[in-house]
Amino acid sequence: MSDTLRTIDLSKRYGRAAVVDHLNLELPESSIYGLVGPNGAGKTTTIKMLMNILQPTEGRALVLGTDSRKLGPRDFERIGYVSENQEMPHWMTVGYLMSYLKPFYPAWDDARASELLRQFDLPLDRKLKHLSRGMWMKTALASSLAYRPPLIVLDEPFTGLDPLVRDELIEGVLDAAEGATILISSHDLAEIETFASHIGYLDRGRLQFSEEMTSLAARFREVEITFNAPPSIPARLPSTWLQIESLSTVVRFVETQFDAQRTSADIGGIFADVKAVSMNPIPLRTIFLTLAKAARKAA
Amino acid sequence: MKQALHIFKKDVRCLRYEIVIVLFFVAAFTVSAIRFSLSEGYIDLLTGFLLPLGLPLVAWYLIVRVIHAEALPGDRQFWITRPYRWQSLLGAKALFVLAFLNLPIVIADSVILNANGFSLLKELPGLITEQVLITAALFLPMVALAAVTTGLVQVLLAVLIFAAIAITRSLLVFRAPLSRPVDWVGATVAVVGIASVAAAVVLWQYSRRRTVPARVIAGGGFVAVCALSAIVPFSFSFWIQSLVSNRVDASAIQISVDARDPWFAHRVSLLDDHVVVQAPIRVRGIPAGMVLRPDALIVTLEAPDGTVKLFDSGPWSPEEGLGPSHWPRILLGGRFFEKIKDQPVRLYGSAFATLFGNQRQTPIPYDAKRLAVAGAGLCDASRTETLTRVTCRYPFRIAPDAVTIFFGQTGEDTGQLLSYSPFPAQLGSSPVNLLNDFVRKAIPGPPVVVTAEPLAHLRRDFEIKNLRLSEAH
Repeated sequence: MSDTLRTIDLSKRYGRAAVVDHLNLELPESSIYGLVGPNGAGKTTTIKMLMNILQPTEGRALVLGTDSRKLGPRDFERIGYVSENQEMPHWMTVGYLMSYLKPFYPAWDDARASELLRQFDLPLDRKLKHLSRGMWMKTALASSLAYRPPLIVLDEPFTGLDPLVRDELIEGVLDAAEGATILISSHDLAEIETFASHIGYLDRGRLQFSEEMTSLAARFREVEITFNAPPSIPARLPSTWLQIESLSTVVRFVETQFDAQRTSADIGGIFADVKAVSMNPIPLRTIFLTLAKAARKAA
Repeated sequence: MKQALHIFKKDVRCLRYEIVIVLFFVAAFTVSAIRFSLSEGYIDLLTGFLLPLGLPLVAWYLIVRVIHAEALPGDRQFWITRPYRWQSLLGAKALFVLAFLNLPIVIADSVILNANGFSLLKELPGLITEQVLITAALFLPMVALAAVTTGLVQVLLAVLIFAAIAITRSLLVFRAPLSRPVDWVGATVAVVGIASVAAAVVLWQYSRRRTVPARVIAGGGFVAVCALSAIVPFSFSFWIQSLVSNRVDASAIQISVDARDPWFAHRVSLLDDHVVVQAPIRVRGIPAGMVLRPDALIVTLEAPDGTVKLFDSGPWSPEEGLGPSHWPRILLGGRFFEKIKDQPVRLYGSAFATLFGNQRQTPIPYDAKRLAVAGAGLCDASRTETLTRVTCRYPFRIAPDAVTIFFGQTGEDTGQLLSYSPFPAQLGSSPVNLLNDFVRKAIPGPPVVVTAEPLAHLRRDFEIKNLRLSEAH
């Protein structure tokens, strides 16, 4: 069990509405964990509870071995947290922000700070209020990576950024990570897909699944079956088949527990007169769209 | 401490322009207060209104800005996920207030005192007490308010709500006269209460950052303190006063209202739709060389059906000592009087008075250096062909002694407000209070300042049964 970040039945309710509902999450050490889900899924609320910004209604979370409700200055010396809606001291210049934060962190690394500033091409003498959104986010990130935190928590860091800046940010995070555990929440599934080692899907406060990217990519396939004549589709189909579509002589669905032998056997057992079957890997975005639609339908 | 200093330096850098504005106001106030005290009380718009009002406003603004630099409510502030120690953060803010509000005001007060001829060393207790009062009553509540808000609009809204509560409280407990020498007891209750609530809110917010309970504590506490200070009865204040400052035995003094007394004859006269009842009060046993000054008369009239009317008056023989008999005026509503005038009513109540003694007479030479007069401060006298004037300056508070100024044979009571407070300072805008008097003529000899110390505070209860007001003389 990893003590870097773990939640046990973590819940947050506002009145009767459960924003986060008995969340059990565990981040493997040195992983890059992408927490994804639709708007209102509870990603930001979860992160705020992890950072002791919000208090859980029920359950608890361990962050670097400490109960999140007891996170204090010593813990924050080892956490780099950046959020898209964080309020920064707008009157400070980039250079002053860095020099102001330095004494708070015993592990602050001047060389790393300079390197980050150079890498992100940040103007030291410019006030934060005069920075573009991308520059602002890079500054926030640089100020959170300069002390080599073992845990980096990024809440929607790519929102509103152009692709170039996004790439720079990702590059910066990956360069700086060096064995750190990273929790990143994002809508930007295409970006997450490129670097996350683990993925968790949150919907309406519930964790739908949490697994390694490689196994996730391996178990989802888009299956297309071509028939000689329009088939009759039985009422009961395997529950692992989602988004079933039928168009004349073609049936398409997403297999969520792909296993070449078993899936082929299932198809053979249900349908006759199969002309051809293709099973293709699908991008992360399609996986989540499928899951989101299925969840909405079930609801 | 290191972290507190680091945050403090950041706040200084962030608020340098605001600091300059505050220091400018303090300097302007200092110059204006010196001009005021040296010009024997001449007040212009700047001295009397703009600066005394402006200085607290800019001080409050600076407090709000420095607290909001690391706002406590909310979940988006960058600092809440940085390794800030709450003790350091609070320490930095306290240091800022001390450095840019308390210290400049101490320096300003010292300059004003020095310009008026007071010894700083001697006035140190007053200087310290005034800072404690300013911090407790003005700065700490604003720190608390800023700690539960995120912007100036919220602060202004909260100030308006609190002001409305305070005004309502004042209207509900209005009583004449507005100022009494023992009002410091109620004021102390209010200041201690407000400072305690504010300190609780500040500590709670900085250590826990739970804004909703902090706002409940702030609002509830303020209302509770307003209510508590409003219900402090005069008799309680007077009792506290007699506990802290009675210095002689005044048990021989009698103050009575007695219908069996041969000279007793009450009077009734009409005043618009009210009726004035005057029940004579007899005073006996005042020691020679001493003066008994009335503080308040609280009378209740009770009709046979149980209806009661409370009458709370100020000094019933203002600005002079009590002789053997007095006719205080008790105001009754016309309708109530008509209802009870033929019935046997019960009149009971309490008279409160203070015994003054240790009289000292100090002639004030003309155009000389200021003379220290015990109980009146530093006094000087000036004379022209048409005017003789005496001005006394007292540091940090209203002088506790009764001061009478004699221009020749005629004694002029200065009409001063008295405060029997044991504290060396009271909350006020200027560190020097002026007491001056004059006659429009030149007098041959030097004017004489006569001071008398309050030595004992006494309360005497009385009761008259079966009084028929219609039988008034």
